[in-house]
Amino acid sequence: MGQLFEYIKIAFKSIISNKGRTFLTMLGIIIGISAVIMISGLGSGVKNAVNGEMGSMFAGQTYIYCSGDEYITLDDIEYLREKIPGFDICTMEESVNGEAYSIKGDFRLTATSVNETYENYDTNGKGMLHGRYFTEDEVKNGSLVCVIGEADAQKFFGSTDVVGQEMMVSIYDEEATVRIIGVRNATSSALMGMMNGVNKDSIKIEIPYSAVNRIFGFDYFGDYFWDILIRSDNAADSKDDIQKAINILEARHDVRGKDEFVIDSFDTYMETINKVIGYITAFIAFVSMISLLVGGIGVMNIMLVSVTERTQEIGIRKALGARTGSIMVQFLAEAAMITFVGGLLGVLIGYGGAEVLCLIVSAIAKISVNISINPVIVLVATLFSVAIGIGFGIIPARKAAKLSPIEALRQE
Amino acid sequence: MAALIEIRNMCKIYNPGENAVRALDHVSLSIGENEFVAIIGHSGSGKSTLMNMLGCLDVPTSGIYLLHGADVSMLSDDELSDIRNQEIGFIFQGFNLISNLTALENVELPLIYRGVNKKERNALAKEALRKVGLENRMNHKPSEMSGGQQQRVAIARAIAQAPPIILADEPTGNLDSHSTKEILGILKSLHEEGRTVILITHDNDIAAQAKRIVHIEDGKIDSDSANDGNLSREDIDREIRGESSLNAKETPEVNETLEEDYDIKEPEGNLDIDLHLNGEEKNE
Repeated sequence: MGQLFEYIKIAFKSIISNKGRTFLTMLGIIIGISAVIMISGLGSGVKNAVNGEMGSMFAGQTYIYCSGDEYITLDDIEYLREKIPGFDICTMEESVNGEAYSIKGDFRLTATSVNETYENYDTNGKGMLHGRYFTEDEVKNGSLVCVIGEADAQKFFGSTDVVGQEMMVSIYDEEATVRIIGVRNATSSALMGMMNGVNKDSIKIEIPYSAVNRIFGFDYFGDYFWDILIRSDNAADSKDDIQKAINILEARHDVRGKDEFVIDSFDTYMETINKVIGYITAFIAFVSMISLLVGGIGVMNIMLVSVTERTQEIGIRKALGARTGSIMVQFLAEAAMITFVGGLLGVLIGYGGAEVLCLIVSAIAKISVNISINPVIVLVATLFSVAIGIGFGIIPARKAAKLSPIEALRQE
Repeated sequence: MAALIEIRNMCKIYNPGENAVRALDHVSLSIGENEFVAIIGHSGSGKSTLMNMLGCLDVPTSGIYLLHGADVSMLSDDELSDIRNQEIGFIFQGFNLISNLTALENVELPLIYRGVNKKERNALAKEALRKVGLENRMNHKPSEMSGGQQQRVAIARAIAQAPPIILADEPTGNLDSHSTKEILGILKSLHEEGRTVILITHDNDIAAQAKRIVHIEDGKIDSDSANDGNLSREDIDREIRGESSLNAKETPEVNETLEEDYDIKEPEGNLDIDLHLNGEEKNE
């Protein structure tokens, strides 16, 4: 195959001498490859965006919930906080519903009852916009204070600088006035925004669980929390800390090994979400691979036509001493070159297309989706298109190579 | 010494069966080195089939083809490709140049298939083009050249690899009389350089340029006679009709028309063409 290079040069000459047709032949491959690149680029972009958003807020966040007769008590929570200093969140998270009244009108209210560690929830590193979070004392004493989100403050008061303002609330028909001590930064996550809902008539506040007890005038929550929310400040310790917490709870309730306390970790949700995105991406990419197949058949058809058209050329070459193999290599090289260049163009166009798709998705879903294209996919796509050229080029190349020189020369 | 080409009892039958066509019917022919042979016959006479056989483009149904004393009648396609590449220079009626290649690239083709490296190939191709007087048109595509020039490119292609045999199939069939003279002049000079030139034609005027004329009819060799250079087309016509029994031994009739008809002009190259047909004996 010392002559291989010469045959490739011959092939190159013939494909550039018929640029229009070469391009049309490439079209199927260009579309196929660009579709695959586009979909996988968008797919992993979306995956990254979701992971990034959710991950930065929720990574390591875990619920321990009760699956049987045992309930987590306030003492359990205090004990865990004491024993596992690595927890930056360790709180109950119980919602109570009611109404809130302002000059802007009446709002449905959801009050999330928590302790002071809940400050670290959903801050995404941004913390408080105004004011501060609950102190330990406020939680201990049941102070009638609350923290409101930036958007809700705007809705309720028409301003975000509302620290010190008072809010008339009614929780399960028990009326009270709570003072706002902090305004949480609006969540940076459009995804969270979507999940929280954007109901115009409802607002959400965070309130010390003890304040709720005080509003009701009795220990509303009692000692029974159905679940707690924990998070390690250090992701590396997260697994150990969770296990430690489970062990402590099981020991305190004397239910060792009975699976009374069950972990529901955000990370497992994330795995599921990633899997689903992965499946969807793979499925769509697979569908676009079918277009590659169609493109390959297109290459084969045009090559067959080309062989028929170039019967005379093939006859001349054979008369001049071209062997079957030389003709075969020439036509295979032509097919492979067409699909290779088609593949490269497909990668470029696919990249551009993925950028555009990401922009569109970002605009629609209000999350920032950045294109992410794996170089391995680019390489595989390009090699695959070459393989298509060779695979679908075999039949035309064989047809050309098997032509008898006299038959071929007779056609003039 | 064995002849360059030796065909014995060759048959070629197309469509074997009820409608079998005997394109060649027990043909035996021997061509020595440095002969200039014209094979003449009407269309359908079998001369094209014979040319395909001589050119190793096809294999016979039966019979033997010895080239340099070696049997080539049963070789594989690829072996035949190699023989064509090394032994035979083809010149076709339709020029058969590849249209998207320049003159130089066309001439290089057989050298590529022979595996000659680029530098040497280039030099050989240029030399061949110079020989046919086209050194100034090397980078032209066939479509940018006249018929005569295209045929000269084809000749350059045929001789670039220096094959012992030049097989010309109606080389002037598509050319005007001026170009015809040029091409015939080149063929004659190739013969004088020592090559074996086999000219297939239906035109007796053209055939008259050869030193030996083989007439084929109905797949059989009808006559095979030396041409001392003084035959006219009428003589050949007569011979073909069987009215004359010209052969190498007979004293040829003197006829002046040939020299007048084919006062061959020297082509643009530096070919040294003998313009006059001499009375040499047929090569044996």
